[in-house]
Amino acid sequence: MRSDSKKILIKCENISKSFFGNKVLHNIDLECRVGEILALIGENGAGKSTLINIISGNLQADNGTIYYSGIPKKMLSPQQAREEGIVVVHQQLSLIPELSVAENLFLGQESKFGGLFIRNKELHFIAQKEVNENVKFNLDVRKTVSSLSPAEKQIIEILKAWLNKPKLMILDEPTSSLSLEEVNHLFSLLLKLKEGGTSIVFITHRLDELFTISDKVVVLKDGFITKKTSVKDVKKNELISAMVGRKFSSEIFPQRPKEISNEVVLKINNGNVKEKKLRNINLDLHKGEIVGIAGLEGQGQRDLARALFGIEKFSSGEVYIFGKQVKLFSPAHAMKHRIAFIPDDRDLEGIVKYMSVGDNLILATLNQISHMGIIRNSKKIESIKKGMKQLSIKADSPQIEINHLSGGNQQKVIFSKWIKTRPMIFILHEPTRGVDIETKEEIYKLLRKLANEGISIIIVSSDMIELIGISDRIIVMYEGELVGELFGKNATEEKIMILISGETMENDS
Amino acid sequence: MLEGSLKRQINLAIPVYTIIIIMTVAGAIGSEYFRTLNNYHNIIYRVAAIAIVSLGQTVVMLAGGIDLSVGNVLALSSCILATYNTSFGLFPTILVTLIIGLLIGVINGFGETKLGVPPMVMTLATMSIAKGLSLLIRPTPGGSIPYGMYKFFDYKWGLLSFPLILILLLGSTLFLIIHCTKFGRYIFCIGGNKLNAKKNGIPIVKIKITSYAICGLLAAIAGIIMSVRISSGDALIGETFALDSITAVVIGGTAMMGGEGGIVGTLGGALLIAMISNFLNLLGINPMTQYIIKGLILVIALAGKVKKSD
Repeated sequence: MRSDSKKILIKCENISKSFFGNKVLHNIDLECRVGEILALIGENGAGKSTLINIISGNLQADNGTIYYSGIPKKMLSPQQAREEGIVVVHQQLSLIPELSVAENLFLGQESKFGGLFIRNKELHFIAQKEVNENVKFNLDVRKTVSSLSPAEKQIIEILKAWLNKPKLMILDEPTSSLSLEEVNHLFSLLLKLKEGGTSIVFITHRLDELFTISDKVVVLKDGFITKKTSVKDVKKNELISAMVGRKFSSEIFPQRPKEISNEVVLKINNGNVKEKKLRNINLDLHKGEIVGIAGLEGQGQRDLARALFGIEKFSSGEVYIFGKQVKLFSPAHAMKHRIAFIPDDRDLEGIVKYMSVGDNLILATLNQISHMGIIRNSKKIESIKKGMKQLSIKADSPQIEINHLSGGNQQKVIFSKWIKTRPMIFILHEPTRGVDIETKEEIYKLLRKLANEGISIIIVSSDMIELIGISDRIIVMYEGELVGELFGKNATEEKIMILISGETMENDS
Repeated sequence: MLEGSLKRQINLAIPVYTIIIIMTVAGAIGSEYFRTLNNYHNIIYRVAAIAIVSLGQTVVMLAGGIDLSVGNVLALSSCILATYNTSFGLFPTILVTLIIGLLIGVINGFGETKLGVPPMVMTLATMSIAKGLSLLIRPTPGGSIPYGMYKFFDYKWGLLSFPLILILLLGSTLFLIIHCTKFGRYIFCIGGNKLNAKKNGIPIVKIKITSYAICGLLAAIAGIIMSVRISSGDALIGETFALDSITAVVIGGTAMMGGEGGIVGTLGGALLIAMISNFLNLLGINPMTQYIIKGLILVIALAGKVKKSD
């Protein structure tokens, strides 16, 4: 059956959306037919999540119309979308851990199994039947969800959505934490759903996958559709080109030094973090060097950064700092070795939200301003003043609550806090996320200044332009391993994109 | 073949029942008095109030909350019953007592859901209010319970007695509600993961308020039993019930934060607590040590449960 002959289920016409004056979707025209699998791809920030939020009623478009089975409708809420037959499946996000698989599958539909008392045995029986028919591996529905692997949870989440007989199922990166075999299981289920007439739209970064399973692919870049085609008519490298290839403006990045010192400040030898599937990490960080680490969501770079600060632990392998072997038991320990870390989730892990700017600034260096366990007020004031001046932190006074500051200024406070600890190794995870362009520029200048003073920096970022602009070299991670290193002329968006997607340089066809 | 929460709670209840069996055997062998029918009835009467309050506490804790006011609601019920039954008639007074217990529960639930007050704080507040009301009604223990009622509660034939029947009746009713109905299933969901429960469209406010209402109602019933037992009303009779009920629930296998556990374990927990007091008496040990022992048991039970690290 050719999908061209099928009816159109959803049609987006001229959809645009802006957030605070920033346009994130421009005139999107898109169609998905009944029983069609459509892959939506693009870099982080291209607008994919926004688009599916609009289709599923979580957000409202600013202009344009969406036609559901030919009828223009505004999806005013997720509830309404569900009634329309549109279901969004996030990653394992709606299962109740202590309940059994069966109980989760029919959560909300218990009335099918009785009025006052639930016919539990029957519920479990039917659930097992559904699972046996649709899932390729053995799964006892009596097991509690908490005992399932992430892959199994993902599959159950999808099965649960499907039991509601949706017309359109939207999957947001369903495979990002799955192994190849688990992905295959997932895909068999999706194909089954497709045969049953359900349309599927899924977001992915893995190009191989979309060739295996989708009928159509749509590429978003900076809020525009740059390619919309049937999968048979396109090649991988065309997709990659459609995703990247911006004009590179190098003005906001300071000049890179010609040469990097040979002195190795940090060495990881065969590092592994078993729980997080990080394998064979070998890394040499030189004095005054800025190393960028690129990778898609969940490829191990986050865990690597955190393992270097003692938040995760290396299960095997050695770490050497200035030639001496160390064990990073905890952040306090890492700090003793002059390592500093800025996490990606500012709100959750970077600042103490309701504390003042000043108190946040001195948080990591209380020892420096205390005497016999008591904070000396004069030293505290001096330290705060210095910190605010050094990075030009814009705040009416250091007494105000830090969450009243802009994202960029909050980030500067965090930087200032860590710089006070005089680190030799500075690890940054998404250092300019949610930061305005002016502050970004300041941060890049700051990083280069620190590097010139001899501090070694590791930046983990999903912003490829940033990595290309600021790093002396770029390492790419995929599936928990280091898959490539790029410097100089080779550090292009396209090459990074290739490595990031798990391709190798030789086969880019 | 058991599925779902029925099965899971049994595994969790094994430790407490093991200890009960051990203690029963030890008691039977070690003490002549333990083997008497009289002692058995003693235990049952003691268990009755604790078990009934603990049943209510189980519902609240499974849904992720906690009720510290149970003891004082119990006391308030005893005061109302003993003081007003002569003026207003026995059955109307009983009815009012139950309604007040229910209302306090609804207030607790409302406080947690609509006012956003953490349950520990909210129920602490109602605990204090209930205590105040009890003391206003009965500044000193007193009042009276109709003799007929006393005789009825005291009547024993063989192993059966009214308190026992009440425990079994309420126990099975709660069991059915929690483990076999949609309402019960949703209680587990809310306790397990409130955010996800919400995502699944589960009516959190309604269910939470109902859980506290049930708890309040059961505390009132327990208050009636207690007041019959002492043939009077006493504003301070409920002091140990908050701790006891929480201990019973936790050692019976229900998780502190809710989401897993059940009625079977709680009944075991209540029985265990009653047996401890009984044992101490038989052994001639100072009954005040029971507080120390209960505290230790609670610590041990919780220490065993915390597998998830930070």
